[in-house]
Amino acid sequence: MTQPEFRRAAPRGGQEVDFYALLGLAERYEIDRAELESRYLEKSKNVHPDRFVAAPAAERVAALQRSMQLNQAYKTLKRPLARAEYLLARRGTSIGANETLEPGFLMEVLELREELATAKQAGDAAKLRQLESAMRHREEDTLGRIAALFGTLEESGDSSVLTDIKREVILMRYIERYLDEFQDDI
Amino acid sequence: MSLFQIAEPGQSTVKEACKGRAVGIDLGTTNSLIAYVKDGEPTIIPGPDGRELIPSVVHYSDDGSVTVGAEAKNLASRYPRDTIASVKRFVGRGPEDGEATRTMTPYQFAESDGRVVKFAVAGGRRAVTPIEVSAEILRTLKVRAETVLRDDSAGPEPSEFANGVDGGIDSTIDGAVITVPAYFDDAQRQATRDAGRLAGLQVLRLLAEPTAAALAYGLDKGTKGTYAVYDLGGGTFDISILDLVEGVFRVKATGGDSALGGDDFDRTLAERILDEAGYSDGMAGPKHAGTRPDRALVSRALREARAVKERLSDSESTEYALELPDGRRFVRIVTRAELAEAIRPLLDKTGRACRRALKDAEIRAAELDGVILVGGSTRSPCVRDYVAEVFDREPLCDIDPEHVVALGAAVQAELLAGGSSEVTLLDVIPLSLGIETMGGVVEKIVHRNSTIPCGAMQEFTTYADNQTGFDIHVVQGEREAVDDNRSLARFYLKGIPPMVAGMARVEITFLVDADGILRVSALEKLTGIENSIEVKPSYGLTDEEIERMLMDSFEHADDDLVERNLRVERIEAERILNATRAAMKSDPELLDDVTRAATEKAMAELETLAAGEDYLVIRKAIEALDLASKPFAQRRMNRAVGAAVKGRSVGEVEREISH
Amino acid sequence: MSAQVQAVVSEEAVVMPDLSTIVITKSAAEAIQSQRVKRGTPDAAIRVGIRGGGCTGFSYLFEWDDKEPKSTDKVFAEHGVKLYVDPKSFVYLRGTELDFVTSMMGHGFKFNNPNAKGSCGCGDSVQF
Repeated sequence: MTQPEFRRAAPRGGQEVDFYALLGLAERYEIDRAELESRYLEKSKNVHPDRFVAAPAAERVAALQRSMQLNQAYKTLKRPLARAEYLLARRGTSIGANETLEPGFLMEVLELREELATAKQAGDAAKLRQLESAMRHREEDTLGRIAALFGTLEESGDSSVLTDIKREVILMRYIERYLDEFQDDI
Repeated sequence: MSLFQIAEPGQSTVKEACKGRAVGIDLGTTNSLIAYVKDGEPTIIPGPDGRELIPSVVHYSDDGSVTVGAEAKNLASRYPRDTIASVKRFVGRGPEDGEATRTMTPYQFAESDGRVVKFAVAGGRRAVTPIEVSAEILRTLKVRAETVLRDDSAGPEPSEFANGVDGGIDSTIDGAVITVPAYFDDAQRQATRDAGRLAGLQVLRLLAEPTAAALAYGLDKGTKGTYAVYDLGGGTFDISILDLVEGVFRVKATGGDSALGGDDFDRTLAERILDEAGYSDGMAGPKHAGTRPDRALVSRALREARAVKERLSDSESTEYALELPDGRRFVRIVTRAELAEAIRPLLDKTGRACRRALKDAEIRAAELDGVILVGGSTRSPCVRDYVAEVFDREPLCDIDPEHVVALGAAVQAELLAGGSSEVTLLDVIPLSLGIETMGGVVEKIVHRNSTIPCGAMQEFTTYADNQTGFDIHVVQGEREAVDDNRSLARFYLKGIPPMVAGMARVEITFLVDADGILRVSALEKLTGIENSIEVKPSYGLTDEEIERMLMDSFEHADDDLVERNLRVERIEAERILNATRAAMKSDPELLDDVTRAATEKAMAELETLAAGEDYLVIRKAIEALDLASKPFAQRRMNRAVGAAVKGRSVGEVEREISH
Repeated sequence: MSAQVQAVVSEEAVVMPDLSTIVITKSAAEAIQSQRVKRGTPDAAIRVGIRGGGCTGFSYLFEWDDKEPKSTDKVFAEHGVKLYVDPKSFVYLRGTELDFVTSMMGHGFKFNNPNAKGSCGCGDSVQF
């Protein structure tokens, strides 16, 4: 039995590297996408390994590392869910692989998945579109609540909100995984 | 770069002597090209025959000699087994890759140790890997470029008759950017890089073909915005969505199929015709109880299919004619509509990949600023119509779709060699990378379309009590089950101290560099002991293999060099003889008797020696003629310089002297 | 008599520039104009010339000149900017067009010099 068992680790990189500082942004949940974009492109120009092709080995490695961190920072901050998880981790709240879910929601997710599987098998495009759009609405609602909660947290510094955020973030994970199911069926 | 900035007084710097050139290479399935940036413009380097495309075909003959290009292609029908075409399909593939080794290839595969495909060539006496075959093509391109670049960069000399008689072996090529399909997986990239090394090239970068195409367009047209690049070559299909903002080229998504291309159109058509003629290749199933075609027939059928396809680009219908082994001649009309219908399932595959890429890039077809066509197969109206249908717009094709990739690679090579920061390329990895976990499920560690370079780390722990090792299996692909993905590497991490299950902490780190090549390392960090292992993909070559092949190629290179030098010296000899004769005829008054006698003697000797086989002897004879005719040349030069002062360019004068 | 000479044939066959002058394109003049304002010397002239160096043996001199031209200098003025050229260099610069270009390879000034037989890959040096 030498097969490894996968165990999700806390977003370690997040604790070591300050993504917001790296991109020169204020550490807030709400971010300006256009600003994130232009900061990322600007900084990428300066650290990309292509600019260090002729540099000594140590500088090349450093450039590779900085470039990697920058890509990771951009990728994390771009997506609301990844950004929320990152901010939680920065405040010491990590989300494990076996977090419990509200029983009601779990049942609902299971049912929705079954409906999805049936629709896929039948090739029922109308039903698939309907399921997807329903879940997109939920995604929007959940993200709205997460943004509001972070707003409270950032204004009042009340860390009791963290538990609420964590619950919503776990919900979001399920929602995203469900939406992933629509990815490759085009 | 031929652009200047205004310096402060006295601050104009004289640049150090520049290094060799950087070239861009499009190593294609069907054809290959090499290009470089000349005076700021990317330019294709033609071969000695003036042709720009070199067929990616390598012939290994019984006597051990190797032929590359058009000549090799002509030998394909006579020696189908010894002539490898479309080698790109096999690069980085293992023998068990069904796709790579499927039927309807005329090749014979040699026994191999199970990691790399090997072709049995030279009448079965030699086994070569796809890497070696690719390296032959690259070497030919390199020689082509060296010949042109050496002439191009020869310094100013007060020219006499002999000018630049250096058959030197100094490489004038500093580095190369080789393009690969964006969809190439890690093993295929590694193999391409290995082929470059084997050909004696310093591979500066592997560049995704669509990115190269966009670079070529960006340079020429100064475009801005988001573009789709639809690249259908002989054997590969790529779709990429890129955007260009403030000097940053960003690949937003890529997709495609590394075993789908114009060759498949030929194959589809050939299969259909062979089937009608009563020959089946066994692919169509047992219901077609035809005779199995022999290899020569398959070769002929494919060739005719390609010709028919090409003719259908200009006309609505054409004749397909095939000589059958029983002496019959099978003839029938094929229309463009029929071809479109036959290849529709293949085109639909590309269409699905396009839609997925748009989705990954989070953009709608209507929001694109343009669709760029790349690859010889996009010349076909059937393909163009299909692309227009998928993206709902007419595609761009201002730059020759067969040149655009090499031109873009040359631009990138120049940027890399010059360390210019004007353009930054942000590329992505085409396929997700992960690790096998319990129950044969893949845990993705780096997701597809992540911008490179990138890295990710994941922690693992032991499953059983007192488990002292991990079997780490690295896979690439989008599917959840390990078996549906491509196995890249396997390695074992041992030395974990015995402890309760779940206690150990093993960090697996994935690092993808700017070439898209993966390095995996595992670190057991619990008891303060750090073990780290680097792995290479299982289809790559070991360092020993590379070394052996390099040695082999050096041996060949020696032969090549002698032959090349001989050719160069003979041409030089002829040119000098002609030039001297012409000069003696036009300016006899400048020739004194002593010089005339010495020159004529040297000419006669050179004429005799040029027929010999020793290039060094010929070179000496050229030098001797040069020396003998020096006083004459000097006088002509002096007279010409007098003319120059009266208002003509030095070049003009020199031209005059040379005629 | 060599391959290089043949390259010259094709290059020279295309254009026949005015060999009595150096032409400054409008875009070059505009770039010089704006750069000298930024430099704080709105009246500065440009000195161009040829000197030894570089991998082909010659390279361009291209810099600001805040003084009056020397008595031997040739002076060219066009679109409101002035160029000084010493007479020796002028032999190699006759008919040159000074242009300003923007491309993916960057932006900067370009010498379209009919006397040049070619340049090296980096283009910093020139060959006659």
